[in-house]
Amino acid sequence: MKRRDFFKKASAGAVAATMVPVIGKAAPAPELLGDRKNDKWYQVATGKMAKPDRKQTLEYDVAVIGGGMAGISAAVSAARNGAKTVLVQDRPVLGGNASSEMRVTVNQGSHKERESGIVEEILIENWVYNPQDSYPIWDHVLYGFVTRQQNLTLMLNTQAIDATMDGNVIKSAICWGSTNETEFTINAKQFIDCSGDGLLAAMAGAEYRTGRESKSEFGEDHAPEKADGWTMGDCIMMVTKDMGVPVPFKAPDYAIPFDYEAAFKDKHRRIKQVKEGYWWVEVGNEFDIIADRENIRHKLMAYFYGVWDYIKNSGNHPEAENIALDWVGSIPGRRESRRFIGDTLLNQVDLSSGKIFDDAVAFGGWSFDEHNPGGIEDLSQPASYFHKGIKELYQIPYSALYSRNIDNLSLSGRNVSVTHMALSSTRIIGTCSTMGQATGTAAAMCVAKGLNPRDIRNKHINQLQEQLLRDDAFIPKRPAKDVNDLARIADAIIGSSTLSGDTKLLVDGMSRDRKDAIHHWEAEGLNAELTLEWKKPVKISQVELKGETVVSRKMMMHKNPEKYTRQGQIKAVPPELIKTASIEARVKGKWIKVAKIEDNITRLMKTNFEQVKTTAIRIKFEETWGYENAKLYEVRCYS
Amino acid sequence: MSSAWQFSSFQDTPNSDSYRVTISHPGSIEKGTSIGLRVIKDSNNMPSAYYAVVKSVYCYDEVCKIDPVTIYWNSIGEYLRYELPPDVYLEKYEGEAFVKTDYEKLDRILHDENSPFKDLKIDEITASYSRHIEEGIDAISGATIVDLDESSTIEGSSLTCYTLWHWANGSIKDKIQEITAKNISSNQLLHLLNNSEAYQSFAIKHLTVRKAYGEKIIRQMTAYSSQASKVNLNEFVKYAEGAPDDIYFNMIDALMPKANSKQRVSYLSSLRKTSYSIPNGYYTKLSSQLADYLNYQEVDLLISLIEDKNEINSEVLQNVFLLLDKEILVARRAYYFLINQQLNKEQSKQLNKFYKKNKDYL
Repeated sequence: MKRRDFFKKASAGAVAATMVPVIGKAAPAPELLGDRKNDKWYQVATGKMAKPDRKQTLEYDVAVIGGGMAGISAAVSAARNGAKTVLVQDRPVLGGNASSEMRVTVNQGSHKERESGIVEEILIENWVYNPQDSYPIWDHVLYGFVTRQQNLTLMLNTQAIDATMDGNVIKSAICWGSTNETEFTINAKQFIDCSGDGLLAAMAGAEYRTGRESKSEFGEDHAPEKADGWTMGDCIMMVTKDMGVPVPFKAPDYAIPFDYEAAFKDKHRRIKQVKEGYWWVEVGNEFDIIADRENIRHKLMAYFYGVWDYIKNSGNHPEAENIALDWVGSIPGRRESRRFIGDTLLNQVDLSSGKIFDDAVAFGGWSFDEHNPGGIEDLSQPASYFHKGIKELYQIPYSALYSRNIDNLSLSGRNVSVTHMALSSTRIIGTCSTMGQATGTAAAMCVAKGLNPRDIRNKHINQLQEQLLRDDAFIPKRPAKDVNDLARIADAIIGSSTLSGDTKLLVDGMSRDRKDAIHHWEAEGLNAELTLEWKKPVKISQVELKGETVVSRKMMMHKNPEKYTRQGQIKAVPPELIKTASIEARVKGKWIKVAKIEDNITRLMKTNFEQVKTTAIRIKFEETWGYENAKLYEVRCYS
Repeated sequence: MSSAWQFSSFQDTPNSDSYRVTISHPGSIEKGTSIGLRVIKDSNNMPSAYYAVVKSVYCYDEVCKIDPVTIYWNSIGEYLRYELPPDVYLEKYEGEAFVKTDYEKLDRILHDENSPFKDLKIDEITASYSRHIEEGIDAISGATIVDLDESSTIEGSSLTCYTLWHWANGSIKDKIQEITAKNISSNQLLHLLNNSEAYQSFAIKHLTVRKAYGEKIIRQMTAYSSQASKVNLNEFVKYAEGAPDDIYFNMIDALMPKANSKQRVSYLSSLRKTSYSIPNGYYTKLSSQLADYLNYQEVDLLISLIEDKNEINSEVLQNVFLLLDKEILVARRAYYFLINQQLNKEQSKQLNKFYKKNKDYL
């Protein structure tokens, strides 16, 4: 089917726009960009006239649309798992809401513990390349992380604006490169829309919702009685610097005066610090927040400068006398727009009840941080409700991360299959990243097996979960039980010493301590050894370890440096992490060194070597990043 | 003594000393808080308990009610109980007074060394404490509400629980141990070996620090080691390793014949890492016990020691040969040792027989 033909048919099925919440299909595609006819391009080098008709068709296994933290996680995991992958990002930098353009903190889904996996790798790496916690450098840390990944191509300044379909299957993403004036047709077997607003998914005809569900639809007691069209708003961030001397401030003409008396009736909106802010300078929309984006951006700038004018010039904040604005965002951070519908629509009850899903692949734990839909334009309501109800980490099922009506479309980030109320918790960047790692890993499996996400969910979910856990994702209440892991069948696991935990815990499938039980082995001191013995010889070519990064300690970068101290953070590679280790195999009674781990900065340490037939593996831990003992959570061995 | 939650004034006893100590408290924005710590001594003039008056909350706005609370610790800094002055009542959010069950619960919380408060930062508590909401409690920029289990906190007074927990279980413990250690004799430390595991640990650590290797102390410590917990066995080995070389060796030598498998692993591990010179022939002597060793780890350790020292002789070989009949992990360790040795004809034959029988395991 040709693209035009499809859209002629699809447009007839558009759903009435008055239905709330909106359940709709995409509007018809825009006209083709078309051939260039009017250019008068005389090329002096050749003496010829030419047409800048720049079009390219590219072939990939997996196309990831959107280079925020979810998209990066999806693309890197797809590539690592063997799929030829492209990451398409419409901005000049990676990171999305977390980039220097918006500077939203890479919060973890739970205060009690961080995500592991790809997002943790990035956060550690940031302290290696960017100890000065500079946001522009952070962008380039992400750039380095993505561009060095084999199997992965990055396309910046490129936006996916349309989809070519074959029935319910996306054949191509039509993309426009804004710097190279090139139309790209990206053909792929699997597409993952991590773009937040989800234009590609919408253009493909994936079903989605906007607005707030009614209380009765899913039994969500925090939801409004009646469904409406509101979404949580956008906001812009700012960072200040202390000039050491008084600095005047003159507000721009478009600033909107801050009604501080009304605003301060809500304790959330008070000015408690002047280093960064202010999340409550927020503007939402009652129907179509995407259409209103540029208007909202202007309003946010106007409201923000009004607030700052109050701070600097009201006389009520002498602490701001020497403080000057150093950076104010020009691109609002976005909380909510389209939510695409999967086979499962995750809701408030699922999250607060800690529902167990047999297809759990990711997790969250943030509160129901539902913002006042009117934002700063409705000071009669609190800035956020901070509804209670999240008692522990909750599972996110794979069936909420793919489209129910487009066969080869997955989703990660804020556009997944959740209700408005569930989104108020799942939208946290750390949580979004766990979804990305899950869909990227699954997409590679889809390609390898010639299947689509729903098939993976129905037939291969155990394999997906095991691969995620092997790759250091964490799924609450889902321990690993990989039958290919030879460490699990070792006849003895011996530590040279044990200060806490037990070597047996290294193969119990839980790669972090839980409230009710520890799952680690800690030797006394360094130069510790861990030996695995098998009665009968086994063939091994990979030994994988999970070290200690203290997931209960925060690791993100902040706009306000005071938070590092207040939160007890360490702006460096976690001192507890193994830095240097060596792996030996015993072959015919002799110990042979097969792998060396050097300058390691990742919790998951993977080694690959020529396969050996052996009855014992010995790991020598030589150095950490400062901690006095060697500590591990997991050891795995594979043929 | 009164129950923890009952209001009672406290009296300084004639046997009390006082110290001014600076404590770092995670609720304070200051680097350290100076408090008066009073010591209660027993009839032997040994510190038996401590107490201090602390603030119920650290508060940086005008809405907190700050109450004095007296906290008691034992002589090694473990929380014992708290008391309030007669006219002081703790309050919850919105001024609701604590009831009896709240006071009891607070005592339980303070007794829990692994309370969730241990790892929480003040921001996370203040953000969850409605009166103390700070800027930055959004996904965008900072912290959010921490939902503590009902059993872990007192609804509406998490900040008080947090503040008092860190007083009761925080860095003051180190200060108390420091003071106790300065005011206790080595003999008194030895008496603590009959007390709880924590006291035993305190005693061994401080005997090690003060290098107490008198004959009586060594004798009692050696006797004690056979009943030490896993943690304190490690502490005991450190004590032995801190001794001069002859004392170290004599202690290990005396203990080895009676040691169980767990203790043997500790002592053999210590021998593997010691820089002291071990008398020639010692490992030959130990090898006579090899057949009684129970697990692979201890066998591996002793054979590795023999290999390291190259203490190979006919007696050692004979003793190692006995292991070939043991379970395969142990037997294989012996085999891999033996194939590298000069063997007589009979021994070679025996080893060859083992190989044929077990080649699938080698």
